[in-house]
Amino acid sequence: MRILFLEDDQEIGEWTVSGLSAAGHVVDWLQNGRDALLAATTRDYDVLVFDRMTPDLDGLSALKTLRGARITTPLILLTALGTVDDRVEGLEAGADDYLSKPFAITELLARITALSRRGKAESTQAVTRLAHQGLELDLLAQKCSYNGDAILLNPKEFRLLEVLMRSKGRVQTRAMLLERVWDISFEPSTSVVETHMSRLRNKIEKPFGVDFIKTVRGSGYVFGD
Amino acid sequence: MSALRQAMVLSLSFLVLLSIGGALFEDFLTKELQTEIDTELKQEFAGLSRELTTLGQVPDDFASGGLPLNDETAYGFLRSDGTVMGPVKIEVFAADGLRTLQDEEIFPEDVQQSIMEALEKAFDTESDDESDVVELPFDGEFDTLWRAYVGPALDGQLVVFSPTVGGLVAELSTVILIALVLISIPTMAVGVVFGLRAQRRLDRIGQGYERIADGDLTVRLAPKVVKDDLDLLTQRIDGATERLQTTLRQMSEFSANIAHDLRTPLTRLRIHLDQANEANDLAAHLNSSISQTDNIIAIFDAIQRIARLKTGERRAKFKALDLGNVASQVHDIYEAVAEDEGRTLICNVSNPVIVDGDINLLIQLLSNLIENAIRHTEVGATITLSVRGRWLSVSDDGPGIPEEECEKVLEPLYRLDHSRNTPGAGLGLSLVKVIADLHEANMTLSKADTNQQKGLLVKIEFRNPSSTLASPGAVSD
Repeated sequence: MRILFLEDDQEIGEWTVSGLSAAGHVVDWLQNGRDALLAATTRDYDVLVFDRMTPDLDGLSALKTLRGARITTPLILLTALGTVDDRVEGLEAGADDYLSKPFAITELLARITALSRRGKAESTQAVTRLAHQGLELDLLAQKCSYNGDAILLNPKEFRLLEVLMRSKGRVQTRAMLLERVWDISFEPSTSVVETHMSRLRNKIEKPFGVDFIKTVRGSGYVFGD
Repeated sequence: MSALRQAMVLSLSFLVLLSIGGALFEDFLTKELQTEIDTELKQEFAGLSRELTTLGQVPDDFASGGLPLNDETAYGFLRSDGTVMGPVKIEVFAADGLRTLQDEEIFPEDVQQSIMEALEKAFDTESDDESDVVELPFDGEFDTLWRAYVGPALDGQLVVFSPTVGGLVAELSTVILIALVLISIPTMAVGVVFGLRAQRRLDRIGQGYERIADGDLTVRLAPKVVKDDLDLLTQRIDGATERLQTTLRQMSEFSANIAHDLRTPLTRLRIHLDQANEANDLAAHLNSSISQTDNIIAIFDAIQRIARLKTGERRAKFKALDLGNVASQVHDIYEAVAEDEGRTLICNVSNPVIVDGDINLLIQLLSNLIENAIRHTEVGATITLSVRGRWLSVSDDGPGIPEEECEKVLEPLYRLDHSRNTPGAGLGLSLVKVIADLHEANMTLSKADTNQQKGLLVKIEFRNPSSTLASPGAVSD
């Protein structure tokens, strides 16, 4: 994927670029907002990753300008301010996702992957049914079944499975799941995600001796693949 | 000296306004009196003219030698042969009608002379002879203006004249002016006294405030007895100073605690990095270093959150939401978590009210309380989350918190000594408190079970049920 990366800090920049490149992405790294804005308007990128505070023109303003110019390339805002307000402000300004520093490179990679697909496929067609190797999710009736056998899931388990199935093959980190399933933007000190994940797996995998969800050590979970 | 200046300015403005009023009054009075005099002159003229016509001739002693010394009208006559009778110049008869004339325009030299003599005699204060004193018109000032009416009578011209109001009104104005000055002196004196008093009080407040600005937050400005608005103001300033003092004290304790709490993970981090350097168990030491770093970041994160929430900006985004809904969402999240940890989480909801709030923050508040309860109780404990009306509470049957510590645990980074070694940054409860404050909710900590003196009960009382009508959408999102 072609990624435009705006970050003024030399060390964080080098580290991030090497992490993204190692995952096979092509990264254009710029260190000031004005250059990034110019690049984003003149070249074609799959995902933009902007640091919020940069010289000349800060990332948030660059983002607002881009959205004002109807450039809808998915954008992740990076920031050292990790509070909920900043997150809301960033999302309201038109960011598609928000990640606070310091972050793990796996977290950024997972979010970039999630964004690039979401931009292309999911938003354009209304999905009413998700299926994978006999596991079926009827989004209208809110029913789950495996090879025709009904599986009883509570609403949050259903939502968790839906999020995982929608992003089949892509890593969902704990933070991403907390945001998308429970609408929680803080880091709980207990194992909320793990607990619910293990309950879900006990319902959809254990009885049938199958394996849909894989734990990706240190980063999150992936469905299928 | 601004208060004094103000008093002076006020007094002077009062004077100026009075003077303007006086001038307007004088003008009005002059016109009124003039009209009256003119009418009287005309009447007098008509009367005399009729008398002369009845007589058929002008008597020889008509107005001869009569000096216009008394407050009466005087008159003169111009015969057809050109001789003037009475103390007037011939020029007076030049035109008919009403006119205002000066002394020298009306009196011939000799008459002026005799009037002066009469005046001198009148003002001779040495003279005891009361009978000699002539009653003089208008303070005897011989620079009066005269009003004259000239017209044909019998076979000649008749003039009737009397002093105009100028003198009278001038006298009146003088009286008013003196009165004004007399009134203004005490007025100004009172103004100055009050001004000086206010000035002294303001100076005292100003000096006190300067000391506060210089950092002495123990200064209090309000007097013991509050008498007026200024006292009320000083009382408010005192209130603000007191809050500032508390905040400052908390902040300094907070910084001390931060330093202390950061020191532990930083020391551990340093030890791990040190040992990694010796490269015996590199991976393990690096992993521990990362987790210590995460610990430090978590502390900073919580501090940042608390700082941001304290500004109250978030309140602008409040929506009407159902407390029962919040509780059941949190129950959904933590029921399984508690179970896996060997605790039971129960949720009781009865008559939940709608409050204005931020659902994310309230979820975080309850999450922190429940996570705290899980952390500080033994396996097998029961944690109860309940909503009763506008009361939200989380209780457990663990060891609880000693009565005297209940206030302190709400301060940032305060931790009970025995829990110093349990994980958690010690910011959980203070974050809860900040969120409660933001919602203007009252938070109290007490024993859950007062008989057995155990268990922690955290109660949060929302003061204001939502003022906005709760829409189902706003409640559930």
